[in-house]
Amino acid sequence: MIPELGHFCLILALLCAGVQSFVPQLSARAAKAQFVFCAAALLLLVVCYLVSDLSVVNVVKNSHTLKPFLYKISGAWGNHEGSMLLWVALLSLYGFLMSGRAPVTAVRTQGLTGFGFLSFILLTSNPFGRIHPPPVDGNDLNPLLQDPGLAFHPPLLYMGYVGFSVAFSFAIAALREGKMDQAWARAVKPWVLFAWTALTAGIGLGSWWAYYELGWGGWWFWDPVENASLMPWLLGTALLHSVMVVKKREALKRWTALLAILTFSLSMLGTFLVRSGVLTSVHAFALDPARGIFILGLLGFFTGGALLLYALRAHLLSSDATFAPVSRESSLILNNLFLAVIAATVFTGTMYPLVLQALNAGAISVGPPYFHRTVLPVAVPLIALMAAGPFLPWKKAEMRGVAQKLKLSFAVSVCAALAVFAAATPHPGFSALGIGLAVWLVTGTLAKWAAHAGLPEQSLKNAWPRIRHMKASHWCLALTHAGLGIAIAGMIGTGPWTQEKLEVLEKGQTMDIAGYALTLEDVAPAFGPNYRALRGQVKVTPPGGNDFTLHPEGRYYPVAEKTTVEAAIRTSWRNDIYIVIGEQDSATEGFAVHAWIHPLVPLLWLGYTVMVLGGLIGLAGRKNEKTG
Amino acid sequence: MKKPDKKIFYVLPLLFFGILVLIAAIDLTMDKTPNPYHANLIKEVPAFDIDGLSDADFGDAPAVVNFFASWCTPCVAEHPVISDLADEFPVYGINFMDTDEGRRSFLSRLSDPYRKIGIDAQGIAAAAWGISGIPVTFIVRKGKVLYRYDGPVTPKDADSILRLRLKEAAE
Repeated sequence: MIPELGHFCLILALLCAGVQSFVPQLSARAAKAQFVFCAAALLLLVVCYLVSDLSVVNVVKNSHTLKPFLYKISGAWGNHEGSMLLWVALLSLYGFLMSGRAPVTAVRTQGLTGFGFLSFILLTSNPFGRIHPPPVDGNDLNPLLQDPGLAFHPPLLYMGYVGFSVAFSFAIAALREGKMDQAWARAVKPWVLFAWTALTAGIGLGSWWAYYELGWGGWWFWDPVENASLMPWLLGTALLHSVMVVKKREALKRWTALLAILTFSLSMLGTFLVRSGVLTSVHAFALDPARGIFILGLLGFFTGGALLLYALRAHLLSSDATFAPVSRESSLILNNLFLAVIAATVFTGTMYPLVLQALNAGAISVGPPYFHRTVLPVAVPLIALMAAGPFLPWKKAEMRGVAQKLKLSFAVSVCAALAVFAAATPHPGFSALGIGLAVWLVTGTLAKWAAHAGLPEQSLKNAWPRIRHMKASHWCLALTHAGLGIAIAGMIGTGPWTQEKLEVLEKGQTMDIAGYALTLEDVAPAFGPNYRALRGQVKVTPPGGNDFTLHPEGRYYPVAEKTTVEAAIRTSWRNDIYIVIGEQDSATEGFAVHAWIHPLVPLLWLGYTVMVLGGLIGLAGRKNEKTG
Repeated sequence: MKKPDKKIFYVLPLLFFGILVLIAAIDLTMDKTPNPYHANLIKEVPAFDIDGLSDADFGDAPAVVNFFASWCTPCVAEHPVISDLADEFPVYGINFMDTDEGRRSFLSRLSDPYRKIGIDAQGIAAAAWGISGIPVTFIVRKGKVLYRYDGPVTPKDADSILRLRLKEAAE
C-alpha cells in the first residue's frame, strides 16, 4: 500500500509540474502542490526503508533488516532511484519557496525542470517498484556509504546543485523579458548564496568522508565525480560575484545570465555523469545506458534551450555602466575570468577522457598531474587578488591607497613564506608560495574586516559597537575569504608536506615514520552489527611525547560481500596520524601497515567550516537587514 | 561608446554545447570494441631510456608494455588482468608521472607483476610512445609495435585480443 501511495504521489507531482509550467495563472499554486507530493513521495520511500519493506525492489537492493537506523534513512537516497527522488524533491522545494516572489516565467521554468526530471524518475527509475515473491532479506547498502558523513553528503550536495536551478530560472525569465536590473539581482542573490553555502558544505563533507573512509590517505583525488561537484562550485562562486556587480552597477548582465545557465547546466551534468554510468570511479552506482540517454536528453533540452534563448535574446541585456580599469568591478571581472578558466580547465580534464572514449579511443585517465599543472597556476593570481579586491571601491580606485592598507599583510605573508622556505620543508618553493598566499589571504581579509570596524584608528573599546552592528555582508566576506585562506594552509599540509610509509609488520614489530614509532601490538577479530572485522592495535610513540594506541580496522560486510578499511586517525593541532591496516601477508604472517603523517589537516576542515559559517551569516543577516 | 552588437557571439555557447552533446550521444549509443586503428599509430618501438627501462630491454620474444600510475583508477581496475597476463608473457611496466611513494604503495597493495619497471616521472617515455593518458598497453616484438590497447584491459579483451595476438606473434 505505501509504495503504491508513493508512486501515486509522484504521478500527481508530475501533473502539478505540468500545470506549473503550462498554466501561468496557476503556476504558484501548482508549485506548492508539486512540493507537497514530492515531499510525500520521499517520506514514503523513507518509511519503506524504515520498516524494511522487502517487497520493494529498491529496499531489497540497498537495505537490510540489520542495518543501523541512520543508514536505513540515508539508504533511501544512497542509491540511484532514491537520490533522483531527493533531487526532484529539493527542486520542487525551491520552486515552492520562490513561487511567491519570483517572475512567473521563472516559476514556470522551475516547473518545466521538475516535469523533465519527474518523467525521468517515472519512466526509467521508479523507486517504488515491487518484487514478488519478496526475498528473505535485502542486499545491504554499499558499505563504503555506511558512514555518518556520507549520510548527509548527498542532501547537502543536492541542495547546492539544485539550488542553482533558481538562478537558472531567473536567468531564463530575464532573457525572455529582455530585462535584468538591480531588483533582479537583489531577488536572485540570496538563492545563489544559499546554493553556494550548501554546495560548499556538501563538498567539504564529501572530502572529509573520502579522507577517513576510503583509507587512501588523501581527501581529494580529482576523480571525475569530485570534479563534477567542483565545476558548479567554481562557476557558482563566479556567479555569486557577478550578481553583486549587477546588483550594484547593472553591469555584466549578459555574462551573469550565461553564468547562471552554465552553473545549473554543470549541476545537471554532474548528475548525468554520476547517474548515467559514463564514469567508472570510486562512486559506486548502478550503470544503465537507457538512463544516460534520458538524462542527456534532459540536459540537451534544458541547456540547449537556454543557450538558444541566450543566442536570440542576450543582446537585449545591454548595459551603460562604465568603470575604470582599477575598480571593484574590474577586480570582480578578473575573479570571474580566473574562476571560469579554472572551471574550463577542470571541465577539459574531466571530459577529455570521456570524449576519447566516445571516439572509441579507449578509457584513459589524465589524473592529478594534469590538474596540478593547469589549475594551480591560475589559482595563484586568483587568491592573490582575493585579498586586495575587497579594498577597491566601485567605479574607480586608487592603487596607492590599497597598497597602503595591505602593507602589513604583505610584510607578514612574505615573512611567513621566507620562514617556510628557510625551514626547508619538502618542496620548499611550492610550500612557501602556498603558505605565503594563505597568510596573505587571511591577513588581508582581516585587514578589510578591521577597516569595517574602524580599526586600528579607533581603540578596540570604541570599535566594539561597530563590530557588533557590522553588516552581515561584511562578516560574510571576511569569513568566506579567510576560510579559503585557512583551507589553503591545510591543503599545503596534506599535499607537499605529507609523509607516507608502508611496511609489513608482524606482531610486536615496529616501524618509524617522521620520528613516530608505530608498534603493531595485536590483531584480533571484532564484530559489528552487520560486519565482521580484523582490528589492529597499534601503539604510537610520538617524538618526546606520551604513547597512545590506535585501532585501524579492516571490515568485511558478508551481505554485500565487500571489504572496507577503517583508518584510525589521531588528530592534534599539529597533524593527523593516519593508519590503515591491510590484509595478512601470506608469506610472512605479517600485516601490511600503511601510515601517513598529515600536518595541518585540521585547518582544512576548519577552513571549510568557516566558509560555510560565512555563507550562513550572510543569509541570516540579509533577513534581519530587511525586517529590522 | 556603444558598439554595434555582434549577435553571432551569443550563438557560440550553443554551438559548443551542441558538439558536446553529439559526442556524448555517440558515446552512449556506440558499441565499445577497441579500435584497431591504433595499431597503426606507431609501428616501431621508439628509442627511449628512462630510469629502470630502455628500448633495449625488451628482447626478441613478444612482450607487453603497460603504462600505469597509482593515481589512475582504471589502472587499478585492470591490474588483476595484467597480473594474469604476466604469468604467461613478459610484461614491462612504465610508471607514468607518479611519485615514489605512490608507486611503492600501488605495487605493494596490488602486487608487482612487472618484469622490469621504467620510471617516467616527467612523461618523456610517454611522449616517445605517443600517449597522452593512461592506462595504455602495447604488444611489442623485435622492435616492432604490434598492437596498442587504450584504457583498462577487460578480462574478455585480454583473452580475445591480447592473448591471441601474443600467441600469433610467438609463432
